[in-house]
Amino acid sequence: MRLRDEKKVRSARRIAAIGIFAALALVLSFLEGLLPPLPMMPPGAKLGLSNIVTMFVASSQGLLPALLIAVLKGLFAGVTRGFTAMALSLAGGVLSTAVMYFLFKTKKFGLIGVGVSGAFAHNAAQLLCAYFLTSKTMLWYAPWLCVLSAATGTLTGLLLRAVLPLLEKLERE
Amino acid sequence: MKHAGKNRANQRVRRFGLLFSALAAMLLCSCAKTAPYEQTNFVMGSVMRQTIYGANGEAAAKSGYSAAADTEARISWKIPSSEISRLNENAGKAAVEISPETERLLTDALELSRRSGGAFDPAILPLSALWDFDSNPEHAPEKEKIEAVLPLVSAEYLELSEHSAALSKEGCGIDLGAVGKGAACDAAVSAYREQGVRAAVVSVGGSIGVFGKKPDGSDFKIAVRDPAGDLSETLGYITVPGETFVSTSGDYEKYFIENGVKYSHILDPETGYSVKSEVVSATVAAKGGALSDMLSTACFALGAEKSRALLEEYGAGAVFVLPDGEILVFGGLDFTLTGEGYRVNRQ
Amino acid sequence: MKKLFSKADAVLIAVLLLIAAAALFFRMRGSAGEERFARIEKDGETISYFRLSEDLPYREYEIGGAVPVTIAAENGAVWFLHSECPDRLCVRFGKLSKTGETAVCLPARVAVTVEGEKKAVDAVTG
Repeated sequence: MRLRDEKKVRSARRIAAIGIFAALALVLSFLEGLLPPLPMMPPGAKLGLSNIVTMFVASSQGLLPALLIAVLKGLFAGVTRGFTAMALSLAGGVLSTAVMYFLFKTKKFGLIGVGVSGAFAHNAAQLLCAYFLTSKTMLWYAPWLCVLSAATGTLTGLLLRAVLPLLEKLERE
Repeated sequence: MKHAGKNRANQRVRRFGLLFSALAAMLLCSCAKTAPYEQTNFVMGSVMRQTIYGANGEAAAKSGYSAAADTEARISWKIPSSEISRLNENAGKAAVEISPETERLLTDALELSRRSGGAFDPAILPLSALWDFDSNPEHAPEKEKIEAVLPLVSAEYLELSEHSAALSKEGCGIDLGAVGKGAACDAAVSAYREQGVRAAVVSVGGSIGVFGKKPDGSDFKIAVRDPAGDLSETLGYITVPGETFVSTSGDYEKYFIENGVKYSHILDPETGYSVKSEVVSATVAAKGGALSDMLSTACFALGAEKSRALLEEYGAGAVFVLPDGEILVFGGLDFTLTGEGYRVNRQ
Repeated sequence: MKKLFSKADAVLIAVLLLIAAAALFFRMRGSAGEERFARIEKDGETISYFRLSEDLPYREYEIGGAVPVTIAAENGAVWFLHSECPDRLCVRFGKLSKTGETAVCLPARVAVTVEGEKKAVDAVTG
């Protein structure tokens, strides 16, 4: 991690903030794992609550910190749920983070739009990964994942809007 | 000014919200599963299969199964506590009280026995118990034994009055084995009607009942097993609307061969031996389950030509398979041939 | 404060849902890739229900009871592999792969059925 031309204090504070966000993402993705599986969805399909964190970091801290959190999340999945889960999480996390970051940069999209795109990118990457790693029948779920993305992405956007003041406060302190 | 702009934006958001709700609703509709609830169970020594369309499929299948099991408990001569067992025990002695369902079944059986000239006979127990096809026999009973029980076999010994039945000769007995599966289908379909299911298909052994209208609006297709083929092969199918019951009798279903003679499970009350039929199988579609069972037994015994009048009396349709591969379709039944080596002749 | 919802968002979501709707519509029309499921039942109770995909890896189900049976499934087919029943009629049914196909073992009271949305026929008589 290279932080050019940053004052030491600011950079330290920033690193600490990223650490807190990473922890938050891990906790959210763990909690989500406790929910029952969704109907009509492939095993492992989730709401993507931890996307809220990567989304916020992508908008406020920039691409690299957000990617860092996505990678951490993937490694965490690898430790707790094995290689396939790690590969799926990494593919989904990295792609969705990148997509969300670039959509924020265009300034054309609202929180819901970014959330939906992120969820869609996440699902698409995971599905493709699962297609190669596990079963070819995974593609059967593709249309349902489009619908799921629209729903969960909207939810992510709304939730982020709701907790935004809180997160911004967290970031400042 | 700023305020007005915000209002307009809100309006737009609301409009989009509406659009999305509509889209989401459309998607939900298109994915509303029409897959029916299916269950396979066992009753009357046969496979009972239920396919139920609409909500509460599982509950409907459960009550369909208990209705069929209750029917067995009421009418099986092998269950000592059944109404038929009590009737048989009291043969030549006394009349016994019977349930309305059993009364109706015996009334219909007696009626059909008369109309078919005894080709179907519910009082065949002395003979059927002697052959005992349910225990997969390998030898025919001795001629003397058969001749000894023949005088006991006649539906005329069965006397019905309101809510009671009697057998007037000691040693005679009722065996509803030929109609039990169809009666079970009747009972299951009544259960479906009570449960308010949308559509259902029930089969007990080779007896089938269909009910209601399928979600896609199509009629029911009932395949007819190919008597010459393997277990899973069929020679064609009939297309029937809801509230139709289909049953098949054939000499290929249950038989054994001794000294080069084939003995099949459909017995002739006249001779005491297996029916020597001119047809390989008779499939009948009628308005009742027990009725289609009785008719198919009678039609198999009578052969195609002699069955014509009987089928017409009951407003039933039939498909006969002849030994030379000719298929005779009676009563305007909608039959589609799919097997090879057959030709269809619509009567 | 960041904006919550924009016109671009609306277009994006609409496109996504349209793609999903179109894909579902075409999949429903084309029956070639129809989904099939295998159901294994004992005494009317479902023991196992699984997608019968074309690349299904080999698996076996041992079902105990008075008459033990073994059911196998692989590559879009399911069948009675072995049975302790006297006549082995269930094994004679062979491999089941088409929607609506079924095999039963009466003595073991076990049934195997291939289910799907497009049944060739509703029932078989005879």
